[in-house]
Amino acid sequence: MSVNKRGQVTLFIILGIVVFATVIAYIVWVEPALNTQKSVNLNFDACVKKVVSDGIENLAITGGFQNPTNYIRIKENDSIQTIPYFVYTNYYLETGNVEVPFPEEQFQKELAGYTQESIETCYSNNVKKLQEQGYNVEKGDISVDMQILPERVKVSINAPTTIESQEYENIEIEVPSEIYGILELSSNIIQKEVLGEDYDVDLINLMQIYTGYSIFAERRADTKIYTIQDNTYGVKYKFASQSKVIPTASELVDAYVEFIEENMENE
Amino acid sequence: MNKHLLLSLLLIVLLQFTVADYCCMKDADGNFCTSMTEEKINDGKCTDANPLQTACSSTSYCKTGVCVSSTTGRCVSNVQKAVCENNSGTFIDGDIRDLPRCQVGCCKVARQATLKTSQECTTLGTQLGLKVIFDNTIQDEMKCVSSLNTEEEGACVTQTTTSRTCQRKTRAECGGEEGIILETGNRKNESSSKTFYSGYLCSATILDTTCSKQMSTVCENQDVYWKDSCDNLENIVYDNSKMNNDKYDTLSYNDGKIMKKPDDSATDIDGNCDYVAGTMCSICENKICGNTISSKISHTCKSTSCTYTLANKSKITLTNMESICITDEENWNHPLYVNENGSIISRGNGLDLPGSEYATITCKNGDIEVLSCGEGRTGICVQNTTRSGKTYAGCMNNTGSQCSSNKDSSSCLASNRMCRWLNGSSELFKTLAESISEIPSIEYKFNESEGICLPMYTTGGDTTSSGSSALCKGYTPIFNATYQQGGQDVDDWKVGWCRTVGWFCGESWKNPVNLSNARYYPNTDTKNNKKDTGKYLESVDWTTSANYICGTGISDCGYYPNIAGEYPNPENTFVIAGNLETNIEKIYEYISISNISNRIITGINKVKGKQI
Repeated sequence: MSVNKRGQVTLFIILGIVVFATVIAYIVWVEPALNTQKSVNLNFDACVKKVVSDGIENLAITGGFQNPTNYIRIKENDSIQTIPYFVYTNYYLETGNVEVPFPEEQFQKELAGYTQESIETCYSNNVKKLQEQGYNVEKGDISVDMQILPERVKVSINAPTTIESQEYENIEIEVPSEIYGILELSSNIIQKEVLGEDYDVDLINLMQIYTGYSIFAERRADTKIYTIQDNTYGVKYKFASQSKVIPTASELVDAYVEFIEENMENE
Repeated sequence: MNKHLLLSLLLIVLLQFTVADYCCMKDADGNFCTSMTEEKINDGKCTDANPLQTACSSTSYCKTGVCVSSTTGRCVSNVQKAVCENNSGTFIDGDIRDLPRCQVGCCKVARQATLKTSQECTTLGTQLGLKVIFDNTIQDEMKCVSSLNTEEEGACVTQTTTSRTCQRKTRAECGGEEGIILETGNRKNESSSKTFYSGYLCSATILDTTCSKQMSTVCENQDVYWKDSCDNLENIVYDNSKMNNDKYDTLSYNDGKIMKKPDDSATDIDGNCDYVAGTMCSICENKICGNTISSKISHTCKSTSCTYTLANKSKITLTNMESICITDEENWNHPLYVNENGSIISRGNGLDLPGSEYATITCKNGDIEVLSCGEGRTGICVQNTTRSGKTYAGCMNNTGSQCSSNKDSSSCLASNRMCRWLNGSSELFKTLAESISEIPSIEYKFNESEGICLPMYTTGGDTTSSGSSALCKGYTPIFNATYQQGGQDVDDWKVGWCRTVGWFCGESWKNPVNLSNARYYPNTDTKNNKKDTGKYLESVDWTTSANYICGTGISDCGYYPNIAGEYPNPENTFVIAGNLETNIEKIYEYISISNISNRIITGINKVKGKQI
């Protein structure tokens, strides 16, 4: 009976030691590892926001095009700007055709392409930084999708990444911007250009309605260059229109002379 | 400008001659529908496999039409087919205004309001994960944007550590963060302190505030509205019968959102009173609130019409703002009635009793409002009936006291005067003349041109002796006679006569002047110094005539009852001349044959007019 009791005590002591060792092992090795895992994350939001904001600003000045096909070059502040025609016709008095029917879709597509490389760099730099901190990071190929929404641009980044066996894939970053409103206004102006009976769009009226924006129109020969600026971030968006052009007297004379000369040559 | 146009047209024609031969659908630079010469085509400037040798305007791919975005549903006009398809759009050959899918409306989502097509609006809502409101009745940009201005109301939720209170406010009043309700029913973008939920009621379940829905009612803009337990205005009462079963007015609750005020013509909405049609919000009378007995409802749409009981006990219904004239039931005169053209239908007869007044009765929002036209009939009431049969009444100043200045019938009866002409051939004058003729050697006949201009409505006048005397003096019959008082001839017979009658005006009857020394001398006998015996007073007819012409017909004078039916003492009221006893007998004889004899209350003074 006493032997049994001693055996029971020994068993309890052994069990106690095992439990104690387990707790110590958890505190010393497992928990720090878990804590470390929780604190590590991809963090390149600020970088992406800067890239996207700069991209919006740079693209906006050329109507959302990096390389427009139909454009007018203008000189401003010692630099040459290539402003795309959104409405265009070669003929006097005729209403122009819409060359860019959906500016917002165009801008969205262009912005994604324009910022892709820089966003990749943001990602790579973040991965590199984590690796330098001693984390085991595996990065994959990333793809970027942009969605222009009211008051913001939503950047969806697919970046399959593994940090210390923790897997990450989709990251969503919202960049504050008024480009949506600007693009809406540009569409609005385009429609007024082609549907309106007046030669000039009533910009004063538009500014009264859309109070957060300043709209200007500048004439360069037969072309009108529209500038829409949002009053919150100061982003300027430019596009051109050549429609319902009234010829000047000298242009008419020149055209007539050209016509006569061509016909004489043909004869 | 015409010159410009002509030249321009000429130029267009010229340019068409110089247009290149080929239409390139897409050139090497990526441009669409470019006109090219054969030379450029050969140089590889066009990417088309087989460029058409024609003008671009005649090709199918350069035709312009409507381009609809397959992504958003946006419609754009004047887009060439090739350009549209290159932008992943659907090309429709037609006018944008004729395409139902391209009809725009006001798309409201979060703090944005712009004109969009229905599909565009839905797409945006999906992109944002927010509910959208598409209002196709608004197709004006300004109206659309204005519909979402800072005046828009919503629930202003204040979060504290202990509670979550709410007040209905405008966005500008509230400030704070712009709260968003997701389609999933969750709240987003909520501030730790103050959040504005546009278009939501404070009692909206989703906001989880301390305010409970539909706890009481209130009149708001003449309609019946619910109020929540935090005293915030909710929506219009839709179906108050639901409240009987301790349920709630589900239609009014509107899923916790503020609803627009329904059109007044929507008669199936209990709280939707129609002021024009004759109902307005009011506190329930005797706790009868439509078809409910709920203590939560204390207002209902009540009729704005009124029922008024006339003096003859008949009832008259007046619509809102309709009015009529009234006077005291006891008064012997009536208001002035005019037709829709303003012509007098019925003139006043001058038989206004002392103390009587005129007033307007107006039906205002279901209640009768009485407005006196003035004590002592300083104002009288004119009632007009319009072509639609409605009556409208108004007070005007009683200018009857100015009638005496009109010496002929035409000036007396001028439309702008409130007078009536009593000509010399009238019965009253006849009896007066006849009574005078009873005196020997007097033969006096009044002719047509003679008469007196009396007021349609007598004024209460001055109740002092001198005042009433002066008033009556002014009313002078136009005929000649000589009267002598105290042995002195008075040139104007009537002056003396009326002065005498005037003497019993007002309160002066208390101190009658004994005219026993006054004598009447007919014209013919003046030189003979023949004394008048005062016989004229022996005639009942004379008494009647004199009483009317110089007494009651002018002011609160003479022997008439007041509106309380009280008469003065006739012995103190009438002119007493000659044989006092004889004359008093005549006075009583007059009273006995008049229709007022049974109403005599001897010795009671004229009473002041009562407020009707």
